[in-house]
Amino acid sequence: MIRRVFLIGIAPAAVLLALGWWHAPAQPPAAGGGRPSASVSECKICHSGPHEGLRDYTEKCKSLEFIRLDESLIWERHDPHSLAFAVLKTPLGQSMSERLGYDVTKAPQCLTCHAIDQNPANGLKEKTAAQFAAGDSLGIGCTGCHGLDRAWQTEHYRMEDKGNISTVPWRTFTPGDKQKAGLKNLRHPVVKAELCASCHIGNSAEGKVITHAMYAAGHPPLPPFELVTYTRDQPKHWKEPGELKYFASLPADQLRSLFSARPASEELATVKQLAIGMIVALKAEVNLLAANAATLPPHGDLDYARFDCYACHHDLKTPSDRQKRGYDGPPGRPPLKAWIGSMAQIITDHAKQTKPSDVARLAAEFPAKWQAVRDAAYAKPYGDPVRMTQAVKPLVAWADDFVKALDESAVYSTDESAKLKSMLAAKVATEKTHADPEAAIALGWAYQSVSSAIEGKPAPTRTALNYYHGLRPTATGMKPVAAGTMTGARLKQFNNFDAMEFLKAVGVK
Amino acid sequence: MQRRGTIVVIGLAAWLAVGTLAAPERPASLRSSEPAFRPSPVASCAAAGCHGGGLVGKLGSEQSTWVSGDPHANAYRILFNDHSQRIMHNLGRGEAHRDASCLACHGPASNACFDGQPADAASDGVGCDSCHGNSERWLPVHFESGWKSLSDSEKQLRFGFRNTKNLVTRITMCTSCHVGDASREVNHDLIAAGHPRLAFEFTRYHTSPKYAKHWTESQAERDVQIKGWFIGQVATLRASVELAEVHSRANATHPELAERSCFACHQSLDGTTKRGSGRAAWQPWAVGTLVVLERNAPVLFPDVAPLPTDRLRQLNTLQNLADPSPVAIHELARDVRRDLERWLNEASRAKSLTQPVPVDAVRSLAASIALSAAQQPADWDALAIHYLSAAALHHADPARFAGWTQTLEQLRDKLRYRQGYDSPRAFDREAVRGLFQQLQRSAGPDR
Repeated sequence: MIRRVFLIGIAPAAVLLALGWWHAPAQPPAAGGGRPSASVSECKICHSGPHEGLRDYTEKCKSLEFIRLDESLIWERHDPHSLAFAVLKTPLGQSMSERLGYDVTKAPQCLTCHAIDQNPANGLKEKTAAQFAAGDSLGIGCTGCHGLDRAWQTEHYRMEDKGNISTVPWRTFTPGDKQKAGLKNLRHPVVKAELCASCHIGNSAEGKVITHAMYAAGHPPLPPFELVTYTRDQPKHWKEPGELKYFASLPADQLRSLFSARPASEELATVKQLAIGMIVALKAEVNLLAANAATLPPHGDLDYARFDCYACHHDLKTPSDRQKRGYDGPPGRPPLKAWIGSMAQIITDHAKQTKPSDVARLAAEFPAKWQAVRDAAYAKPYGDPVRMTQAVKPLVAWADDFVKALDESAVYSTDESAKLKSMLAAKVATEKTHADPEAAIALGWAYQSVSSAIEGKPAPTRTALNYYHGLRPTATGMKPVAAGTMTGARLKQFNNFDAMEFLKAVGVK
Repeated sequence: MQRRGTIVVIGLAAWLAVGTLAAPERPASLRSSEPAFRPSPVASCAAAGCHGGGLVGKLGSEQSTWVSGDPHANAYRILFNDHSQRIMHNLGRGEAHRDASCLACHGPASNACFDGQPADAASDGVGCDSCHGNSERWLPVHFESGWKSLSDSEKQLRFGFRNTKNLVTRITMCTSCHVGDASREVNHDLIAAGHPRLAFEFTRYHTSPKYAKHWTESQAERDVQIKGWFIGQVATLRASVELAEVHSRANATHPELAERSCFACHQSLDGTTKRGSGRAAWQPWAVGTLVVLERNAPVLFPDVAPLPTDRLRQLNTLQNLADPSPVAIHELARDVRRDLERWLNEASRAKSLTQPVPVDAVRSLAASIALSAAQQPADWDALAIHYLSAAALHHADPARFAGWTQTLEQLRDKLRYRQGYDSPRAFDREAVRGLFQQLQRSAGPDR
């Protein structure tokens, strides 16, 4: 009898408990503090929608007024980040391994973006495959962006009962405290932008660099990076503070100090994000230029991947649209990626005419500093490493100052956002932009992001990227698709880029 | 009259005896090595009693033939057309017909002298003196009876006359514009602005139906075309190496992208092309047929030393590294240039240059070209130069190579630029390789 009870009742429960599938109020595992954990399944226990086991949270602590609670489901079912490692094992990944001469599933220079680096501090040369949490189910999982440290992973859901009031103290921790526990403060627009840009553009210090040799071996080309468009199409597994009741009830100074946000009536959070994202993107790219230049002899060529792909990679004809639109530098000298500069330019152009004056003052400094970097790129084909090293330093310092000023002082109210929107429309409609598909795409996406923010309704998901790669959401509802499978279709559309069609799709004309 | 002729000969001989004429290392036809005499305008040759007889195609009417049917006569005029104006606009420079770097090829006679006075003869285009040598000194004496008894180098060094009957002299002179040299080139900035790329292959140019010739060959056409092809390849190599030498100088712009394989970069990406390392090879147009040249130099020119290719191979390897040192390139290129010039100079004096090409040499050449073609990397320039080489043989000896006709036509269709484009958009590499393998199968003896 006892044995039967044990086998039927207790043993399975014990097994379930051990596996963490017990749908009781979640018990914090032993706090580890400092130990990295890349687990996705542990987060999923709670973040898979408001189920029975989370009743204490949803009813007593009103968790649904603070977060979505279904983040893991969104990530798992819809987010391409979940495929980040699995794609290395596809036929494309295999043929890349053959052409590059190393196994992409084990090479640190691939895993830095396609897996979770559990020791980000060591340099690329010291990294080994073993230090990465890599697996088909892991991809770029939760902790890869939000923080590896078990301390915050266990602390953030600790509930305190004071009489009949239950709270989650974590919500009142300062960003500094949260950071000490190992959380990456992704609510801060600069922190978020730098994290995303570190893979989607690159970061040499973290070993995240796509070289031209990788592209030649088949790596899909990286599209222009517009942060708000990318996060919208992940799709977002979070809501902005303005969309959640908890934040609406906070006094403005707490909203600012704890969650880096302003009241929704004062500022459109996604427009602030867009602006900061554009400057952070510029900084990420020029840091790659500097890191590359530092490794070269004075006569060396910067890696071709730093330049506009399509400045070389196009069929020739004369007369051509390319010749008609004119050249930034001497004809025949590969230019840097046009979208990097044109995005930053629009933000500074807008900022120049705003108050407060420190934002406007800094904005006015951009053109000369950017020109110096471009001059270094044109000084000889594939850039002059010595001049580039010198030109990048002031631009990076400027970018740091400017994003700080944007974050602290600039307010992207509805009115200012409307001004930015009309400046984007004007810029995107010029002939010069039309002749550069990447600039048109980046600015078009930005226009769409700002428009949706002003209108207060989310843009239809994935349409802008869909145009770009000619694909539509699948019938099963937006299963994530690996970029590598879309490369041919994307490039075909890109090579036959119709600026007017694209701009219609994003709503400019 | 006869006494006057004798006096001239003795005078010339005496003058020549003064200086010892050691065989110069550099081909005497190279502009950079010839004495700095001034050209005369075409008008100086065009008298009806001299070369302007009006009977196009006949002896004594060379200028008449040139002006009516030689594309060189248009070289200056085209600087005024829409295309040229667009190029200058794209470069942000002034007018093409006043631009020294354009005139260096399109109108080189701005420093002419006529009747003792300076004259600007740029508007002649590529006139008589551009090929035959600046005539300041030889114009008054080249019809004298003693002239013909002078050696080529005597004519060249003392009077500035180039004997264009000599294939080596002629072709090295062609490459000075059609490939480039230390004083003139079409670089990538110019090409990006709209100038057509330079892609020289002698036999193709020589046999072009648009080219009305104002001379007759002293050898059979078959031999001109075959030997001309070969000399053209070596001369193109020499000129390319000279350009590498120039581009690697301390104050030059490097890398010079015009030295690289054009379509390695210039093709739309489609996400499926399986090609190489992500670097554009150095001069595949010039270097592509190297193995063929090496094997067949002793076959076509048995009385000339073997073609020196060791240092050329080193230069090729160096150029294809990442970030090669310009200093290293410069020194090696200089040595390679001298190696090739020595060979060309020897070939210009060789008996084999003026003898018929033996049948087994033709067979050997055909087999080499086909084999080399089938082994080429998937680079359009390398494949195209092999096509042209095979086509040159076919044109020279159509009876022997009748079996190649269909394959060559298919190759031409697969390699040609697409309608509306200046590039071989999405050309089918595997199909081209397959067609070369077909050529190889039919390139054996007596087929």
